[in-house]
Amino acid sequence: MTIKDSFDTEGVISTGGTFGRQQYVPQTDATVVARVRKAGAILLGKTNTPEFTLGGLGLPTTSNLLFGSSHNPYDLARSTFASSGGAAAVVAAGLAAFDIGTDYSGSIRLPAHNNGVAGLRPTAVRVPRTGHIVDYGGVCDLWQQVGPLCRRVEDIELIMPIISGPDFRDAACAPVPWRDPGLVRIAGLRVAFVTDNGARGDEAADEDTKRTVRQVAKWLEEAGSRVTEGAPTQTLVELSQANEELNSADGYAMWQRLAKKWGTNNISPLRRRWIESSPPRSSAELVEIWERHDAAKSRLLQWMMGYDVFICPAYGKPAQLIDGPLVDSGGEQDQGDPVWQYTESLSSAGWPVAVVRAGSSADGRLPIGLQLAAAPWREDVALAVARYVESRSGGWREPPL
Amino acid sequence: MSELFYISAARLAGMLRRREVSATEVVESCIERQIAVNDKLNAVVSARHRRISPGRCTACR
Repeated sequence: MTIKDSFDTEGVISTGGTFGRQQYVPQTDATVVARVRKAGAILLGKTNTPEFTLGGLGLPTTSNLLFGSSHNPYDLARSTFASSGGAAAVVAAGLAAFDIGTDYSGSIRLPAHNNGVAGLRPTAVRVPRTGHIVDYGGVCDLWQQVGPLCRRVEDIELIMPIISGPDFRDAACAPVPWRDPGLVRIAGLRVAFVTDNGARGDEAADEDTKRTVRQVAKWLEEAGSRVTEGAPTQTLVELSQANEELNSADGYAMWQRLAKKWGTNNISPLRRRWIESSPPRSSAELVEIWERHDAAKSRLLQWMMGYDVFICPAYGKPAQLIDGPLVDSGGEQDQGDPVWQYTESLSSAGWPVAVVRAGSSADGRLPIGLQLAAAPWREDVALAVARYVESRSGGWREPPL
Repeated sequence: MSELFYISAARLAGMLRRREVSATEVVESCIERQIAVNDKLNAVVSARHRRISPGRCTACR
């Protein structure tokens, strides 16, 4: 295995993409690293991630000032995406059997999509965050989740029971039993899907992505699932907007605390600009956004009680060009469309979401992965559907390297 | 039969238990793959070659 460089690994430099940790060698393993090592996994290296896993250069690929940009194994000029993009590229290209990533706004799901591998963002607080550079606690506690990136869905099923459950340091972590995905029957599952969950602008789904969603819906129908098109897209958009407002509500004071904690002077330049241009909101505003966020979360959950699975894109299109437009959304609060709308809303929902390669761009070169979401604690359902989709699409394919 | 470095973790675990392959062979296969393609990907940022397999992996010398 390799491990995302934002996790502490005993005796191995763990930079988290920030200068303050360029020579930081942890004394102990992060909980999930200790657990997979105890199960026999061998650490082969650390994988690239943006500063604090939270970005700051604005490039559409996984990048930081220490190590530069990572490249997509299916097209080296394209993005690996988000913060576990080093991990997903490594797994896709066979440099390791699996990696463990983290997903705050989409950072397991988007790299899985771009690099054509299988990934799982587990139900919020199933897996302890201890030993990750952004760990637990605070208003956004439920967003940061830990999960595996693998070539095959069977490997997610192998790893999840090993890394799940309380470590009695991450106080939010819940002791919820793991259910066997092998016991889920695809026939009879109630499936909702949308080809576009309300995303606008650059993130609106392209034709290849929409075609892939419809293909998956058809496969599930053929297997006897009861498939319905539609979802409360307005609620998804509201949730995504509230997520972004909460994220910047403290004027990025959390980011500044991280930089201070690790002694980083030269933080990523775009993030510095956001810090300088984002005054913190009042505590009254913060609580109002928080309540609005949780009300939308409840509405979405009530809708989901009518379904077993919700399928939507992970992103509107396949891997972007690395040298494309900067992703610069953080400075001005409430301005423009949210970024990563498909994934952020489901981060806020807290549901388990599996991603697996379900199709390709029209020329067959670039992977397209979809989000396969289930109700809280029903990873078994999400993974059973992922296994079925993998059996129809072929899932991961060898990259041309 | 695909390359060793492309086999899933679940299948590898079974092959290791049945002693059809050794852990050293699996690790060396992944390390050689890292050395062959990581310059293109820039995805592994701190490699562990020498610590894991000193003097054994021909590609690592």
